[in-house]
Amino acid sequence: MSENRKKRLTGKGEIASSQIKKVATGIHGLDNVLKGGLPAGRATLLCGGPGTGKSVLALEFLYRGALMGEPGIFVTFEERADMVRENAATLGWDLAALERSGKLFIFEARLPREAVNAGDFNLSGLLAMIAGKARLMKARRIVLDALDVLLRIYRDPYREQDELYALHEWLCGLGAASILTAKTFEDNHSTCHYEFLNYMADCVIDLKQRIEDRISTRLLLVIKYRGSDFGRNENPFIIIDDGVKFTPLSSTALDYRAQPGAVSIGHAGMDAILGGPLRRGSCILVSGSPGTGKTTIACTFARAACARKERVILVSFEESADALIDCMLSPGIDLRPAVQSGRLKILSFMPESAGANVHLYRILQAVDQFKPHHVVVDAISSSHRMGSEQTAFDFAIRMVSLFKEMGITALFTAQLEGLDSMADISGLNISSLADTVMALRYIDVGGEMNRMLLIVKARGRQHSNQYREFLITSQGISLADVYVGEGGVLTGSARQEQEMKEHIAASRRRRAIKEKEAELAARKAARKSSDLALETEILRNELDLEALKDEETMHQNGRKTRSTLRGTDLAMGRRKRPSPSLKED
Amino acid sequence: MTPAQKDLATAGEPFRLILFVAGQEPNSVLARQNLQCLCQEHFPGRHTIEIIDVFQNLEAAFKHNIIITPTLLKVAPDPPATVFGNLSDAQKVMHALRP
Repeated sequence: MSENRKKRLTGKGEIASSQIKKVATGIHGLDNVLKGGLPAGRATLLCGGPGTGKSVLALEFLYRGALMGEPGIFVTFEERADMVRENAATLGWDLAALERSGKLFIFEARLPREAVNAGDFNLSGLLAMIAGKARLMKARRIVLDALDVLLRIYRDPYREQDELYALHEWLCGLGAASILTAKTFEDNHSTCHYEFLNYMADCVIDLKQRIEDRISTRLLLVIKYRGSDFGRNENPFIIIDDGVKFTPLSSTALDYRAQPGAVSIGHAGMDAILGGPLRRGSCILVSGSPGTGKTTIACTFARAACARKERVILVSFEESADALIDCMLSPGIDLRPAVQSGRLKILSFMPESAGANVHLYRILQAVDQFKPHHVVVDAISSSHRMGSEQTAFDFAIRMVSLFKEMGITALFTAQLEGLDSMADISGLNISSLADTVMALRYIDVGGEMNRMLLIVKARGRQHSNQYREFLITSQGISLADVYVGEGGVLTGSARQEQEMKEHIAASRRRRAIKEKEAELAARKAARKSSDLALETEILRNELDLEALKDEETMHQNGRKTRSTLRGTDLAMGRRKRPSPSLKED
Repeated sequence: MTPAQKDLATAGEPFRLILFVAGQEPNSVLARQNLQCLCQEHFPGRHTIEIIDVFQNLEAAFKHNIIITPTLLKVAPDPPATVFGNLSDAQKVMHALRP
């Protein structure tokens, strides 16, 4: 058994060591997808429909290479060279400077539109030119962009195959890492004769653009990679800031990890009903109807963490940083010191402003730079506004799992539609991923709306299963003791009223006992002067007294039992209830 | 003299042509022969042909954005024209060269 395992491990190690040599593309997150980069000294085929980002990706491969000191040649069969430079400038790439320093060469290989074909021809001149230039520049990277345009001049599919085969052989002979880009059309089969390219090339990558609910998602799929392991998933990417960015599906590229331990939610009473402080790196979901106090809990958590000298990123999809800070002053949660000390970073985004992948990239970029211990997202349910249900769900899942992997404690708030919906606690069906789920809701009692808090789930701990009255005071959050009486759970003034009634009833019972005792004492004193017949009456009175006492004991026991059933530890997290002062009559 | 020949012969300006070839590659060899025959037949004494071997002169090839060999460029008279291939289709070549 153990020998078998050992064998397997060695086998795996050998495979890993025999993997082909690769060239890091230098493109954000792509080398992670390609497990190191593109095959060194070989050709990679990059296909995709129009506008899927082939040229940008291929050009960035050269641009990043040139910045790392590897000269490259970009042969464009479709776009004009000045257009290539202009488009690159929108991403802040100064190609002209790289061209001047001999790190990049853009070769516009476009046949004039009015050129006349008069007889057979071949590409040996072109190849000689590229090879000659590559030798001069010591080029390590070559891109042939829009190969389909070059091949179109043959007007003969079989000839195209022959020439392409020769082209590929020749490219591999050059010893540079190369990318060939070609347009493909998903719907029509006009380019199906390029399919053989898939067999020829060592590495084939497909780019796609999917549009759902008017939001487009760019995707990269590695179709094959000879001699290398590769992920079979579609990898979403965006073109933003200074190039192509792959938002990681896993965080293996991010080496940041928070320390293990426990984290207080920032309120002793809430820690108590949660069964203790939260686990560091766990995921907390606070869900509730609008106005139930989700943001208040989130900010309480953030402020407390910053006060412990930990760093927090608060992502607000609801309001601006200034508005959030202002709003939190009313419940006495002053976030300003946390912001000023540089421990709290508030990011504010409009969910509609970009696709989920862009938001995810922005958040991860901030996490990478700021290295927070905790991340708060208010509200994750806003991701609905970034696209389809599925997009929102994927966005949430990826955030939850990434933060978990990074050991970052994540607190998400989720808004529920309607006032009393508990059917879908997270609004996104992500509650199963969360370690702790807190639900806030309104309860309508005696013409009042009061806030209630329930710990729906706290993985691996004994938490209260009882509703608490959740009060937002000018000094922050306060949890009121739940009323555990015959009427069930009561809040607000109804709770006070019930407590009062209870108190009156209790003193009445005590008075009744006292009256009976006094009466009995008087009867006993009179016994000496009374006859035997009186003894019978005394006996009866004694029995009456016993019955009353039994009733009181039973009442107390019943109260205790109910408390236990509802998970209230009478010694834990309870505020002492102010007892209403009553005059006895 | 055919009408076409007469037409070309009466035009004043001499023809300036550049032929880009790829060494001794068959299509390039053929193009050289085809061009010489055509010129001698249609505008004898009124043409200059510059032959550039892209293997020998990469810079000139880059300057003219040559991507196919052989390629014939008509520099003068106006308008300029580009013909690619081994020039075995004489009719097409002459059609492109005609001012």
